[in-house]
Amino acid sequence: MSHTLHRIKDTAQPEMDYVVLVMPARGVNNDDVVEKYGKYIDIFKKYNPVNIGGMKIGLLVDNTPEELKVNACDDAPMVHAVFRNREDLAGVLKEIKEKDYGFSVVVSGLLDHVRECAEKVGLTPHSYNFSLGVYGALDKLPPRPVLDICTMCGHAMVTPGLVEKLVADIRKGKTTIQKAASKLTRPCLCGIFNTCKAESVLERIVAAES
Amino acid sequence: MKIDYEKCKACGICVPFCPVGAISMVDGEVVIDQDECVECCLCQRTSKCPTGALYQEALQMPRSIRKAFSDPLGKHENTDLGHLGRGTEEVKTNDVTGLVYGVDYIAMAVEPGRPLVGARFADVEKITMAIAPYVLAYDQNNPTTKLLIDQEKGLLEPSIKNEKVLSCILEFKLAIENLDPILKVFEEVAKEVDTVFSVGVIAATDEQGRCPAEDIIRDRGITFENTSTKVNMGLGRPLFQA
Repeated sequence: MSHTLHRIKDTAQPEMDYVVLVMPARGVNNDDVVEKYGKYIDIFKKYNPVNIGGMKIGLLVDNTPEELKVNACDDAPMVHAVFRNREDLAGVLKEIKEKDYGFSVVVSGLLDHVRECAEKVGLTPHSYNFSLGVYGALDKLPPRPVLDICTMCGHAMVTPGLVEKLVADIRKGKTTIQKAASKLTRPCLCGIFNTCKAESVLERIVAAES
Repeated sequence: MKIDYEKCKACGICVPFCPVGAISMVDGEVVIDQDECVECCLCQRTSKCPTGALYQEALQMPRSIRKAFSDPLGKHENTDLGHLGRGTEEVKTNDVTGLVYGVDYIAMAVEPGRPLVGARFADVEKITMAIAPYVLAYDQNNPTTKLLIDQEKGLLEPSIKNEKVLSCILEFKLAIENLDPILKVFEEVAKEVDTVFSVGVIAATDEQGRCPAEDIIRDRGITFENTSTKVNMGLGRPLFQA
């Protein structure tokens, strides 16, 4: 699914959310999947990832990169990593290009930023999935800062109710922003949740309510 | 999802984990609204219920479709695909598969229920009927496609219409000249559905790296400043050749 698309951005805030997705095409080039996932994880870990993970692989918040490599299996559909700035994104793309392991690579982020990084390392985008936004009963959506956090899991596993509870717990001193952001990271099984951005948004929500 | 009331201590730890608000406290007891529950298993998997009171019965059609679409670990056992996930590889491996190539045709991924609202298939059908005149072909590897009994009219299997899922994805190809008209259709059907839907356009670049679909989208005043775009970097091997 388009699980890394439709991540809501706040243009008033510094951007810190870039997802790299690596995927073999089933029936075409899905050979040596476990070995290659390990090689991509070896690249990811050098560029200050906020998260690394994938379905049936696990998450960086609970595993070391070496443990994630051990967890990798043939039927894991893809592996992801999340980076917090364009320097790290350009670095990881440059090395992936040089190593040329052959799986498809997709970056999710602000279009201008991704293009800038691609150009910097000599890559020409092949194709796009553009988000045209949300239609319909928009009054059913949670408030904006909560949406900024929850849309970082495309499967909707990070719930508005959990964000609201954790915000309340932070205000009561029952947890910290860092612990709350880690707790929000775990329900997203794909490893595309950006803990660093969640901390930043939680800080703003708590400050606004204080 | 069900609650074993012999085990449940009514602590409410599971309540905030429900993405559709189906779990609530009523008169000191935890209650799951079965009509709203999408069988995603998030409460059971993540809330760490201290007594293990949450359980899921073996689901039968049509209810089993809720789990297949809503639980990221749910398999589509009721279609001939049997795979995980709500959609296909779409743009993710497009450089290798050539799902979309050239600039005369594009693909769309319309996702009723996303973000965070959920959708019943009755509303999904309102969308499939509205877009039917513009759809060239639905993706045959997509599980929602398998629920369409008449693709030309956009009709869904009747028995599933009251089933609720976190989201499902309509993936289809269309001629690029129909992009602008179908965007107007979305604006109209948006007024008729009791849910939200997210819209994505999958388009390839030409030999100069240009993407005509992007120009059409921008001409409608849609910018890409408030949301992520997925960019396939063309690093898959072997590259698709038309």
